[in-house]
Amino acid sequence: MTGNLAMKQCHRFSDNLSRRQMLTASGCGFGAVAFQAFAQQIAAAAGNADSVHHPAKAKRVIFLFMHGGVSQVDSFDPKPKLSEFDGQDLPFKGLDNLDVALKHRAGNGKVLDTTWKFKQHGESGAWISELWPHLAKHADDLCFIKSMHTRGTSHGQAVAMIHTGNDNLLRPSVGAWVSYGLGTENENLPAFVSITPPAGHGGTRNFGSAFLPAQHQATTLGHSASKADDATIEYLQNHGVDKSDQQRQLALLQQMNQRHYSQTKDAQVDGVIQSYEMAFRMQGVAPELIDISGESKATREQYGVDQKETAEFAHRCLLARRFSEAGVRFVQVSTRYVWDQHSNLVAGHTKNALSVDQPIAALLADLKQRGLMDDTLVVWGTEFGRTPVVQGKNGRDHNPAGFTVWLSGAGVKPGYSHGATDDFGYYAVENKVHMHDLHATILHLLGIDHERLTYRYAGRDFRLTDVYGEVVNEILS
Amino acid sequence: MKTTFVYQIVLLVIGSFSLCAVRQVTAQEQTAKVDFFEAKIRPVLVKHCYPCHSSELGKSKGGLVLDSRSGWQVGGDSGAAIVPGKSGDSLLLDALKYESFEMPPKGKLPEQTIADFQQWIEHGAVDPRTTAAELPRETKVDIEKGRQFWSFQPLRTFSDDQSIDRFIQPETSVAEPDKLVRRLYLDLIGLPPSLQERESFLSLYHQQSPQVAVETVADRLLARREFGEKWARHWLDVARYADSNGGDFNLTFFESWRYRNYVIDAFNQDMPYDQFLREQIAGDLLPFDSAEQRNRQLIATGFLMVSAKMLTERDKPKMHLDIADEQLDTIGRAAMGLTLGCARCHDHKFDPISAADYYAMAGILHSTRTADRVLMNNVNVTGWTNTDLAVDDASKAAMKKHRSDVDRVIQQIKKLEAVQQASPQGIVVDDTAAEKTGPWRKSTYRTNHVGQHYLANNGGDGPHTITWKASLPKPGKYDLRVSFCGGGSLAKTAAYTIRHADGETKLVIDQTVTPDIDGLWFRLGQFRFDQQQSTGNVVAEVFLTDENAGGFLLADAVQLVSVDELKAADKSEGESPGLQLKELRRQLTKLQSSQPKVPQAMAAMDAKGDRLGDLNIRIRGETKNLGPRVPRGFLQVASQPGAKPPAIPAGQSGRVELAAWLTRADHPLTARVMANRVWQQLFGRGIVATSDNFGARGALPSHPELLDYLAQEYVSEHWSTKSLIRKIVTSKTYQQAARVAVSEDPDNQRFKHQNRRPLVAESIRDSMLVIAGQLDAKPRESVVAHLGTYAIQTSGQRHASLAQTDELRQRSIYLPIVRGAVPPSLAVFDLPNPDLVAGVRSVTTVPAQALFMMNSSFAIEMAKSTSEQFSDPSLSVDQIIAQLFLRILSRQADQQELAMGRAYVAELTADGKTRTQAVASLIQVMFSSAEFRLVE
Repeated sequence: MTGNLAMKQCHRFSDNLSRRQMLTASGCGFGAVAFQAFAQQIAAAAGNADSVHHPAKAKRVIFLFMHGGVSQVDSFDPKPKLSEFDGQDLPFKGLDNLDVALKHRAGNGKVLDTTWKFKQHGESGAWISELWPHLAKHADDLCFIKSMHTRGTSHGQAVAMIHTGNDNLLRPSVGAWVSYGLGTENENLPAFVSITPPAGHGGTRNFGSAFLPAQHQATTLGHSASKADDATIEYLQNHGVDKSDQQRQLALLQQMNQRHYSQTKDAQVDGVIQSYEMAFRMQGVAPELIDISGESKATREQYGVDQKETAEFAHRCLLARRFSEAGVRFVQVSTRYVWDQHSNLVAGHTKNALSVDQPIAALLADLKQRGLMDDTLVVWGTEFGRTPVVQGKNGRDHNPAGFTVWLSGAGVKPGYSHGATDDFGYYAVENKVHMHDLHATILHLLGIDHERLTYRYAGRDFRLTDVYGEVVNEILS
Repeated sequence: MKTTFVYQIVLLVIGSFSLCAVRQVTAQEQTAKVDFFEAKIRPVLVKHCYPCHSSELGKSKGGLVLDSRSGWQVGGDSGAAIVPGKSGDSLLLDALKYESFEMPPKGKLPEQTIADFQQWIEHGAVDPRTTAAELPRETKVDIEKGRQFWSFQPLRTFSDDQSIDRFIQPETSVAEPDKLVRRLYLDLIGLPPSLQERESFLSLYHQQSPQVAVETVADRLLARREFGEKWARHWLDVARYADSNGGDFNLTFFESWRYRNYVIDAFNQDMPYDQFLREQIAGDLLPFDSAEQRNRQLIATGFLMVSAKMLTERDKPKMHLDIADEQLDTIGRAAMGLTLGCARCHDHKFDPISAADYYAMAGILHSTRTADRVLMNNVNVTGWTNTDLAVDDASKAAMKKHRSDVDRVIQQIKKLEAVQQASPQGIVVDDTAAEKTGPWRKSTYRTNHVGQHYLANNGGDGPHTITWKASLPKPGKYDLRVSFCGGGSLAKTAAYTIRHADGETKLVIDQTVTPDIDGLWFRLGQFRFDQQQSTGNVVAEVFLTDENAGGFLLADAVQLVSVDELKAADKSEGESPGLQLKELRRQLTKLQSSQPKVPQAMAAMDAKGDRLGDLNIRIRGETKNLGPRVPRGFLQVASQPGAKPPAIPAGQSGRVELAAWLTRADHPLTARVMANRVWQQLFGRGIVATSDNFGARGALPSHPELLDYLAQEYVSEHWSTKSLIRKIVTSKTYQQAARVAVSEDPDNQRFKHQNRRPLVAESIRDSMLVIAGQLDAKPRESVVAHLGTYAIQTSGQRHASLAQTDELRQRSIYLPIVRGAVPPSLAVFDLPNPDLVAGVRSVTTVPAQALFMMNSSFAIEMAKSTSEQFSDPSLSVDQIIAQLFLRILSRQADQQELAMGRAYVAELTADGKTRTQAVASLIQVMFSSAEFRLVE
């Protein structure tokens, strides 16, 4: 069998699996060693994985998810009209299904000016507000998309959209698709790791594999409300036995399994044997990755690990770099669900930006310094933006019609800005980029054609972008 | 061919129209119009439209191509894109104006360009491009042709002497007794045989015959309650059962366990499958003879209810369509093996299911109330319907008494309140007349307040304060009250300061409690007020600050009533009505909290008003894009040709008719699909390998006659699932030994031997529990049953009783299936995602399973408990090991295994472990072994 054929099995198995295909399948994602009989062809597949459909620019992705909805007009998308119209009626109609108070009141809502000063940064002259002083130093590394739009005016829908490309039905997460498409780079580790994933708004569905085989779901460390200090992989260690005892136990187990295998010659038995080998190896590797105590003082300072305000997200970003460096294809880092400033915008956004700004800037610098930026794509995103009109006295409502994300690293134009919202930052109007388009672009950078990465389930070929999505060619370097 | 026919009519109509137009223009005008097209229209089409709408590029989003004239003439899913001469009727222009679709999606074209298009269309839309677009557009599903597909064909009939073995002609001899008994027990009840049960089977096998042994034991197992606990789970996979909503807002389904138990009971009572389906789809509408039957039928409709919903979807019409879609898709896959959901946006691409058929059936479910009510006091959060169940006489009497007690107290309260109303109202100062610092928000969220609104504050850049000043008519003692209506999230420590004749009094009040007087006025106490020396006025001052308020602070009004007047008014009453009221209100609260709970079912019911009725087709599935309205009805391809479909009575959803249509004896799919599911459970693979898909994209049956035979037998034996299972397990085909597939038939499609199959998650866990002597057979509720409407954080601050599923000891089917937080002991072994219909579980062998077996507290605990059963020092290590092999693997250990075990225990005890600890370690190895995790 050729590598290509093996590839096909990796990418095209259906729910009509033969036993043999199933066995093969269980090897594709999680360390290409589950079945000796197929090890060779799967290894070939892993070798091909870097160029699935076309040469890849990025080998791996770090996705920084700001949960709750970051305000674009207070961060990266300055609009002088907000100051001009502050306190006056918005001169056009906003979205339906927003602020209940607006629904019952005449008018389009009152414009709210931003509190933060904007300045241009870097050679590229990127506009960044004073909320993001550390990130501003990396202005020339960032590629903004200021014309994002998505589906869903409430968090549940929009959070599901950014993670799975669907606002209603259960679908595989972006990371699961990447795992399914590319497999893992490090046979001791899974391909998709989610650090402190969001607990609400769909919870596990945001990092799940849905109908894709289970090994493509994220291996998670804690959840968004937990302390990064305590975040670990479930059942990774048995604190009741010492290592040598467990090794002895494993030896007996594998001896019994080997006997069983020699009696039955059943590949399933061999699969079990391999899974124990791999688990034992992972037990050896993962705890070291999770333990950041070996990081230098300089690095800790750079990220802000020991500062109260930044400690938590710094730790999360540091874990992201470590897993990414170790070859995990898709690492997601999430904030807590804190960005949803319907009120207290000034205090809330100040605090939230303070907690992530320095760690994110440090992550970019660290990746660059280690040479990882050349083949790592960093994506910073949020489920939707916020309205230019006020909610209450000092708040903004959800805005899926126009918001900003940025990318950095492998394959994207540095110091570039794409698309625009209207004069008030409400609707994306120029070079609009839908969430599906962002997904298509991420896959493209990984060498995957989003229209060809499919999985047959319930009689139909599914893909991340459903029937939508176009690669945003303009931002590709 | 119908397709071409329709196509030609369209061309003809348009053709004659443009002919008329052409006749009236001169050649010169015509040239000018072509020039206009070339200059103004074509470049725009090429640049902005072709990328998504070009037959050359193979892009036809929405079914529309625009790189030829016929492309816009035929149009896309919404019909012709341009009507020459009528810009108002041209969808293309609407789309460019962003009035219907928003095209191009990346941004609206300049006004001038849109005006050019308008002009072009008004002037006849002259388009010189002649290339005929080759559109693979099926405008009509061919039902007759569709019926030729095997799964829509009527069931074949068979002579009486047919049998499974005649169809299969098994080639492998009967399995060894050890293996056969373990297989039978795990397949039928999901637990391994006890030592006695094993012995009993073995003696029948040897002394009588393998056949007698299997028949006898099968009958015993089918009669056990564990049978239902095993087999119900397969249906629950298909019914995407869960104890919580998942979706965007993970609320507990605290009544869904009743549906789960209904399924278990239905299997145990061998409820005919047709009845089982009817009750699940239309139980609330079916007639009943007893309260018990009504309850059961109501509970059965949980099948429609337990789906994951987007409860916070703000576009509620879309939400209702999404819910109906999910229900229809589930019914389609579960009962018919059809992916009906595919026909939501367009005619099914592979199966003979038209979008009209889809909306005919979706109309039935859309006319059903499942999502309902507002939850959590939030207009954006939708709940679901719960229906009271009938209760027995004793409970009924208790409830009646309780109701009359409550009524009595309420009457008394009303009477006293009337007295109090008449009592002196004193002086009231509302928040509008008070002095404020800082921004206070006016609110009417809570309905009980004085005046237009009240004020609220949630701390922040404070302190914010408010001061009420009341001018009193005369000096003296006053009863001082403040108003707030109470409720969770309010300030727990609201600091009031009263300035009175005797100085200042500070009081810290908990605003979360409901005040005694009218549920509004909270009594701060009695204070004396004097004339102020400077002004001679009598002024009472009450000051409130939000400092350290600990929650939303409410400021509404203050009330001062002269104590003299109060006394005068109270004379007739004796005790003050206030005190009495306080006592009565306390009684009422107590009564209300001790209300006997009326058991409820998550049950469907028919919708009323606008929601009841036929649906319009939604073009491309988009909620607001209406196509023609279709009368409610059933899937044509699976209906009897020529037969009149059952009529849906006015004022009803049509679920009764849908259920009847689905369960008629000659339905081509219903019996086949279920018979195949049963076969699949007993062989690890269905006769149709894709159990949930009997359509063109599914697998073909490996033995079509056998499948029909099983389906026929199933129907003629009154849809008895137990009979069907018995028929299969007593066949020689089932009893064959397992072996590795041969290369000529790598998937064992011919069933010429049994398959070695992975144990399902539940059987792994339940087997460990029963071997460890830890299985708790009692709890049949769900741990979420007592939580009420509770939003579960799937990780994080999860409710304590959900977090520790590893410590629960009931059978796996009774564990809480909280979406997003499925018990890890099951999730790791491929319990399917409860959002999806999963007739076939995926099978993985991954390190996470190994980690669970090596490191989970559950595995360690089970090994320890098992070991403790062998702590009797008089047992030798060899005896213990021999027993363990019998108990865990249902077979005898061979000499080499005894030696391996002995050496291992010796090594560990030499290392300082006790014998029980060493044995526990060995047991954990055996639980982890491939042999334990497979059944053959």
